[in-house]
Amino acid sequence: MKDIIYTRFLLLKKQSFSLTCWILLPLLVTVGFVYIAETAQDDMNVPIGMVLEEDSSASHLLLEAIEDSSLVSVTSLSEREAIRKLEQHELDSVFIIRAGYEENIHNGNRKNVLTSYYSDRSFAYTPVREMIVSIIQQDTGRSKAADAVMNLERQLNGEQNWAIDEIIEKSRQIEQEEDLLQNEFRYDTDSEPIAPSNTLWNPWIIWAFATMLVTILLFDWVIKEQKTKVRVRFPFTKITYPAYMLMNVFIYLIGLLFIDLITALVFYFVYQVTINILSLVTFRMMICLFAFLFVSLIRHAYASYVAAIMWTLVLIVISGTFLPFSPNNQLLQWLNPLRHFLNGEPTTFWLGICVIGMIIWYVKEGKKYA
Amino acid sequence: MQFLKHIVLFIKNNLTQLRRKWLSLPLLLLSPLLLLGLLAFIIISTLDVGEDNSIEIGLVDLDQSEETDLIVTLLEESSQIGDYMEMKRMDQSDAEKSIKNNQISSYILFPDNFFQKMIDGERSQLSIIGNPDQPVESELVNELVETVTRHIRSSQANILTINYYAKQLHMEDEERTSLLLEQFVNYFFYVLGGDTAVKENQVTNNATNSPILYFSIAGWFSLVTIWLFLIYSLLHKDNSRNLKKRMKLYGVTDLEQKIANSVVTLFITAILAIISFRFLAYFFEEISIAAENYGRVSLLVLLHSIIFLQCLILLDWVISSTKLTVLIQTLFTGIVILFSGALIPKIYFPRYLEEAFTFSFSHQSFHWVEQIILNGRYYAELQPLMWTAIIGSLILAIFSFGKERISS
Repeated sequence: MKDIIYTRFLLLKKQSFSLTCWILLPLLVTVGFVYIAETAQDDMNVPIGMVLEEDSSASHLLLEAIEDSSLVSVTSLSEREAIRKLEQHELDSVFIIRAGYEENIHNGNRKNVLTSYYSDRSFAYTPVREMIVSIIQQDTGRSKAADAVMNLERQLNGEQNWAIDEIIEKSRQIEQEEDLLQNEFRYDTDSEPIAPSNTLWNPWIIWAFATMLVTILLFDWVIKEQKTKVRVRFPFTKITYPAYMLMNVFIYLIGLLFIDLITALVFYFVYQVTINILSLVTFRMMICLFAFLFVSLIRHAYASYVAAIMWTLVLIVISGTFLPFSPNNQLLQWLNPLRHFLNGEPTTFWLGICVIGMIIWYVKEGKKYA
Repeated sequence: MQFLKHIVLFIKNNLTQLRRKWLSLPLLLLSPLLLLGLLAFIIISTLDVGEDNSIEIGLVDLDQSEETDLIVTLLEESSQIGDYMEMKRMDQSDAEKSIKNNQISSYILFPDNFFQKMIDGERSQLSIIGNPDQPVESELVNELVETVTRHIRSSQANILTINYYAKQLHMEDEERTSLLLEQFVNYFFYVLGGDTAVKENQVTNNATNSPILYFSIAGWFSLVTIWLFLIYSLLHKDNSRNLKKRMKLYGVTDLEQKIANSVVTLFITAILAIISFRFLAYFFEEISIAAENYGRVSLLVLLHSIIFLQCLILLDWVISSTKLTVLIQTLFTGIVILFSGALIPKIYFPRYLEEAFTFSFSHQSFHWVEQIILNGRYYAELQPLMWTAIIGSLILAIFSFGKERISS
């Protein structure tokens, strides 16, 4: 064993720089991806057109409130031009503030105060409409509250003489300061999925795909060493070829596990996410064995790179990571080696398959030299 | 002359090489389609589950106060109006049992002292407990409750305002609570009726504007790009050092091999692109393209392909490790497709990224392909693409010249 560690060390010393880069790649990819995805998602904007038929303070307040939202970028223009631009798909949708808006809002009347236009390619129309309606609701709701307080004062013959604006301001203030109604969502299961809600993208999910790909790429030594001329000399050494390979897989496994622990620490401090250690260790064991078998089946290094990328793409698709819901096709879920890890469980099924695969490989290779 | 001879020789060599891969070639070329099919299969098989029957939701009231009782009753009644959601009052153990038996898709839990806390402005929380066997429905319920709580939050501030002033008017506690409840119910219906605020109109300008057609064209364009990359990498050869030395003695340069690879790649992709486009035209009768526009579209796609291949070759030369090259080239293909504006239309990108589109050759060609096919224009701006291709060729030639110098 000592000799093998020593020879492996000699082999790796020559490429220590690139090896370090490759080993750290999943971590870097994850950090980079989460960063880019979060900024890009925040900055994604929907171009909408606003038409002001009424030049009042209420309509300008609404326009400002909409402009403040990070969801949209607003262009003010005339109705005719707005619709022309919508037809050319340069705007997602158009909202027109109808004349008489201010009066309607003050009366708490909000029926048809806005007119909207959208096309069949307005992908973001519904959330934008929801947002604008909720802004209007807020304004009319506050007017309603002020109205109710005034009524109350009249009923109880109070003599405070509150102003409407004062009451509306109070409502704003309460909304900002108080801890109001919240809602939470969870599934009725015992095992918690590893997705916490404070980051939109769980780094471990991204990491799982990245590490799958990189581990297969790292294991190209299996192909390279199968082809070298040294291989014919194995019968003359005290160690057999399959045993040599197995020990090397073990060395890689230990090394990668060490990196994984560092990754876990980094993720804990950067994203405050934790991981079940048993789940991580079994996942890493499965990935290493899987990568070894995967590469052994494909005899050419270049083909193995292309195949590894393809395989990762397939996994991304069947895991449904980028879909807004989690797929529940049972068969595909069993076929997915990442499933257990993504659910926060120890990887058992696929580890079993990989161990069986390794045994078959070992027996077959052993026979070749018998 | 020697240059052309070498290129022809390598083209022949590549073609024989591809003929030997007759089994893996179609599989590789169909893989993007298979991947897409897999995705469609997953989406359909997930969405299919609860399509025919309505979503059943349980309401669990732990507060048991008069007010929450009213809210739950209101919810129960209002859910009977719509036909796709049904809410039922139940107690917690029943709700848990119903989830286990897959009878309901989720339940909403009103915690202890829910209403009192709400009026007092203390932290109160609604919980939605989903059924893991019905993920889509559970997500839907969650979305709905999220919208409703968002509205309630703003109503709540108003109710708290009323409460604040009512206290100042020295209203009696009991009377005040009943006033607040009345206001709450009032706001509740007010929130539910919010849809009437906007009068909606749909705009359609012509028949060729259906999103399915748009995405089919976009998908076709992306597919052509992916095919280019796949065939190009299929022709990749890891020549041993001895072979390279021998080729050098014959005066063969790397550039000649790459040109031969590109010609073969373009040729095969062209066949595939034409076949797949015929398929599209067969399914969509709206596609009617004048003869001269066929020329424009093919020229646009050809220029796009040439520039794309030039970039792949450059990446091949700049990066020495094959492993890294493949990875970066894949990434590059993804970026080229993303910034063609085909999958996510350009207008939805952040402002500062719109700059990137002016440099994107894929966007320049896709934009005009879209204009011609969907909007029936008889014009395409080819010049910028041509210049890019010419500059690309020059860079490759210079690079190749320098490379041969260094290695000799």
